[in-house]
Parts: sequence; C-alpha cells; structure tokens
Amino acid sequence: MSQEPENNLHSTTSPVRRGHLRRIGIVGVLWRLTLALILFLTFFPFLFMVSTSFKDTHQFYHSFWLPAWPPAVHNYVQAFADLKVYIFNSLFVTAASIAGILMFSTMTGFLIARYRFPGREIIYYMMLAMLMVPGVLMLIPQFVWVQQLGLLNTYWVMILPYIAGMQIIGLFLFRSFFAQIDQALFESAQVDGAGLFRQLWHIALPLSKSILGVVAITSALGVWNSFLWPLVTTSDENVMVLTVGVLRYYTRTLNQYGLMFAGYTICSIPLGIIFTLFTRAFMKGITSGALKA
Amino acid sequence: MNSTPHHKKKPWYARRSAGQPPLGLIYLLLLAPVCFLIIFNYIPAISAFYHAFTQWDPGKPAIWIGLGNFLDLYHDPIFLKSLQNLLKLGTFIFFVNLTIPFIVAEMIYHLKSERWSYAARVALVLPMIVPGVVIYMIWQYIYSDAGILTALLESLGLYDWIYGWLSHPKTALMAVACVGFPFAYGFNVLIYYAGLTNIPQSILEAAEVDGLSAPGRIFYIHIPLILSQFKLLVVITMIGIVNGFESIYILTRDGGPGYETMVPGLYMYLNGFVFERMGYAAAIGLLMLIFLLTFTILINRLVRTEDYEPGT
Repeated sequence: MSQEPENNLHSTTSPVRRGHLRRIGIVGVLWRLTLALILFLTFFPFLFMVSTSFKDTHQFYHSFWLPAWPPAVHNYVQAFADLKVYIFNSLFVTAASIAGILMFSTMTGFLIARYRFPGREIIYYMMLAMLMVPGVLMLIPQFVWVQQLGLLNTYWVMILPYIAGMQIIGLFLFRSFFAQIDQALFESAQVDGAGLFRQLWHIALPLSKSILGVVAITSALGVWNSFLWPLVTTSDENVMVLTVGVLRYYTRTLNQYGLMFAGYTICSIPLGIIFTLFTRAFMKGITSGALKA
Repeated sequence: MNSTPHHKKKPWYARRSAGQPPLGLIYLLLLAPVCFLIIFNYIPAISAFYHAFTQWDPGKPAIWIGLGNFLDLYHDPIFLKSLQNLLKLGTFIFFVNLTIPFIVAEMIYHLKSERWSYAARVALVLPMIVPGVVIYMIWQYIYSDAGILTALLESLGLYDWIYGWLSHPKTALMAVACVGFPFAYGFNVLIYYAGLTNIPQSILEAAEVDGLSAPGRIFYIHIPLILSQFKLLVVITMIGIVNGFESIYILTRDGGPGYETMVPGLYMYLNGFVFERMGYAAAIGLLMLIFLLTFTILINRLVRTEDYEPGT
C-alpha cells in the first residue's frame, strides 16, 4: 500500500471528489489535453475519409468539413462493384499466406525447440540470417527469378515468397515460446504415447494462442499491406490485390471525391473486422514483451 | 550422434534418440520450410549480390564488370542527390518516430484510469487497419488543390501559404516528411508502453520513497529501463527509412519535382524496372544492405542490453 505524498496533502484539505481536478494539477490538465489533441489529429484524416465517402460531388463542395445528409450510399455500391475482385484476391492471398506461415513456423519452431538433431543450429541461423536482409533490396533479382519460374501474374507469385519470408519471424517467436513451456508436459505426454504431432497439436498450440494471434495478425498486416511486390509481379486484373487495384481505382475516380473515399473506406473494412475480433490478442501479444530486440 | 550402440545398425533416417521421432521424419518436416527459404530468399539474395558486379540488361546475360557499378554510382549526381535527401528525410523521420511515440506512451502510462489508458492504446492502433497505400493516397489528397490543408488555410485566410506542396521544389521533401503527422504510430507507442509496464514495481516505489520527481523518474528510471525496446524501434525505424519509398512512389511517382524527393530505394526501383539497368539497381540494393547491417551491428554494440540466449 503506497500512496503518493502529494495526494495525501490534498485529500486532507478537500473532499476527494472536488479535489480531482486539483490533484491532476495544471500540468496534468495540459498534457491530457495534448494527448487528446494528438489522438484527434491522428484520427482526423480517417474521420474525414469516412465522412466524405457518404457525400456526392455537390455535397462535397458545399459541406466540406461536416457530414452531409442524405448519405450518398450509392458511392459504396459503385466502389464495391469496382473493387470486389481486388478484395477477393487480397483476402485469398492473405488467408493462404497466413495458413502457410503458421503451418511452417509452428512446425519448425517446435522441432527446433524440442529436439536435438544434426543441423538444428544451422537451419535456425540460416533462417534468422535472412531476417537481416530486407526484401526490398532483393526486389529486382527476385522479380527476374519468379519470371524465370513462370510465376508472374499468378497468386503463387505472392503467396510463396510471403510464406518464405514471413515464416522467419514466426519461427523466432514460436521457438522461444515453445522452449519456455515446461518440458515435463511434453515428457509426460511422450510417456503416454503421444507422438510429435499430438504433442504439437494438443499441448504446444493450445498454450500459445496469444503468440499464434500475434504471428497471424502481424503476417496479415504485412501481406495485406504489401504493395511493391504485387505492383511489379501482377498486371492482370484477375489476380491483382487491393493495394495495387486501389491505385488504378484512384485514376478512375478523379475528382469524384465521395467515390474515391468510399473506395478507401472499403479497403479498410476487412482488417477492421479482423482487428475488432482479435483486438485483445493483438494488444496483449505486443505488450507481453514477446517482441524485444 | 545421440544414438546408442544397438541403433547403429539402422539406416540414419530411422535412428532416434530417447523421446524423439526418427531423424528422417524431422528432416522430412523441415524440408518444405527450408526449401522455401532457399528458393525465395537465398537464391534471390545471392543473385542480388552477384549481379551488383555486373551489367545486366533485361533479356540478356549479365556481364561481369567488377566494381564498375559502384564507380558509376560514386559519380552519379542523381544517386548523390538521393543520398542527400535520404539523410535529411531520415534524420527527421528517425527523430519524430522515436520521440513522439515515447512521449505519447508516457502520457498513456500516466493515465490513472486503466479503462482510458486501454481506450487510448486501442485508438492509436486502430489506424493500422487502413492499408499503408491508402494512407499515402489520403495524404496525397490532403496536399491536393481540393484537399484538407488547402481548405484549412483558405478558411484561415492564409492564401500565401497555399502551394502545390508536392510539386514545388522547396516544399516537396518537407511535404513527404510530414506524411503521418502527428507521428503517434500505434505500434511504436505500444512497444514503448510495453517496456514501461514491464518496469518492476519495486524500482518505481523505491524512486518514490527517494522523492524523485516525475521528470526525474522518466529520465533516470524509465529511459534506462526501456533501452531494449528503444533499440528494437531504432532498428525497425532505420530499416523502414532505408527501404521505404512506397510513400514517395505514391506521392510523387518519380522522385520529382526534378530529383527533390528521390531516395536510393526509389532510384533502385526506377533503375530496375524503368531504366532497365538491373545490375546498377542491384548495386544500389547492396549498398543499402551494407549500410543497414553496419548500422544494426553498431547499435547492438553501442546500446548494450541483456543478450538473447540462442539454443536451449
């Protein structure tokens, strides 16, 4: 039980409720206002985006700052019709990549954390070494290489390199987490006749839900947001993802700001849904100190 | 290696030490991840390294020219300009990306109500649902003729302040740097915040007993104890600065006006995909990589925190 000395001074002279503002003090009020202002400025462009997305061109010019009535819902109908192919492609590429990343990184992480075999260290450091080489620097050779493999303008040209690159951070997190789990759990399961797969599926994975969440969400963010790679490797609208598609969409909506922002808002909805569903897992994952240099 | 004598008769892939699956199964399971790594990471990386020393035009075999590309880069005014821009832009981004999230994290940490603190953190992470590309396109709009900034200055009567910010040589780089204002990036804030909440309560109580003031607590306790988070963010920010040209690609497309917003990453992209000088582009990529590796090693040497223990 420790109370701050300055709190004691005030609470003896004034009732707790009335003393609330005074306890915060002028400095406290100032930085709280600053924080509120920072939050407002961070949000303003997005509020503006959503508000403008419901305006037609006339409303945009006559009610620039404030939301307008009636909402121009037809913007969304048209924007969705224009963007739906890209959205589907993005969802498919993201889902397939996450599935691959989780499968590879949990398996490799488990094998390296649990078992000893020749080459274990080599494989681990071979993986980690690539963490130091940012993908952008290999952009051109990687492009030429996938061209030679005949992968251009397919889903594979995105999914396979994403899995290869993003399995690494997953491996790193899963390996260190699996190594922290009490090994007696696995040993007793071993005695009961549970093999590698059952130990992974029934013991390791249920215990690592928050790490699974973190890896899934960071991979989802990475894949969903990736822009340069799909920009150079796909020119076919049928496999084009949202980040590249929305750039084309932008040129089709020139000066139709309501339509433009409706498209931008639609781009944010899928991750918005995922974020709403997994907020706690995501926030807890980062703040649990799993990511530390 | 761990096998007991009576196992030696078995073929290597069937050998197993106590409590382990056979070696063959382990390697079989590792086959796909390792193949992916080699095919999509190691082969392009080695190719990038090799082609940095070649003249490599699309559809033609590469010709070894030794250090030719690097000598050309040394005399290339556009590349030198891009380095200069990167230095200016990078210094600014480095500073704001590391300080403002720290200040915001401190503010959130000092909020007494857990509910408000959580709400503030969720609010800062929420913009992460908007794809980066879309954020840059929103900023492109903000700077445009019909944009928020123009409208704001017009309503304040500051007509002289209205520029084509992105197309004016004097303001283009600054406009690019200010994308993301007020720079309170949720991810960075959360990392700092995690560091702050991990500080042992006993240390904070001891500081209070010793009568350390709030600024004193921040400088003598918080900052030294979140150095590992700081180091992580330094490395991530630096990688982002050196690699990051998506924002510039979307805002000015070719590093214009002139070469006012050209950065090495964009120059690499343009050389590879527009000017068709792929060896030259690979050389730029290699220089960027060498710079990043040197920087990461230096940071790890300079900012010492508890080391990560590999293996078990």
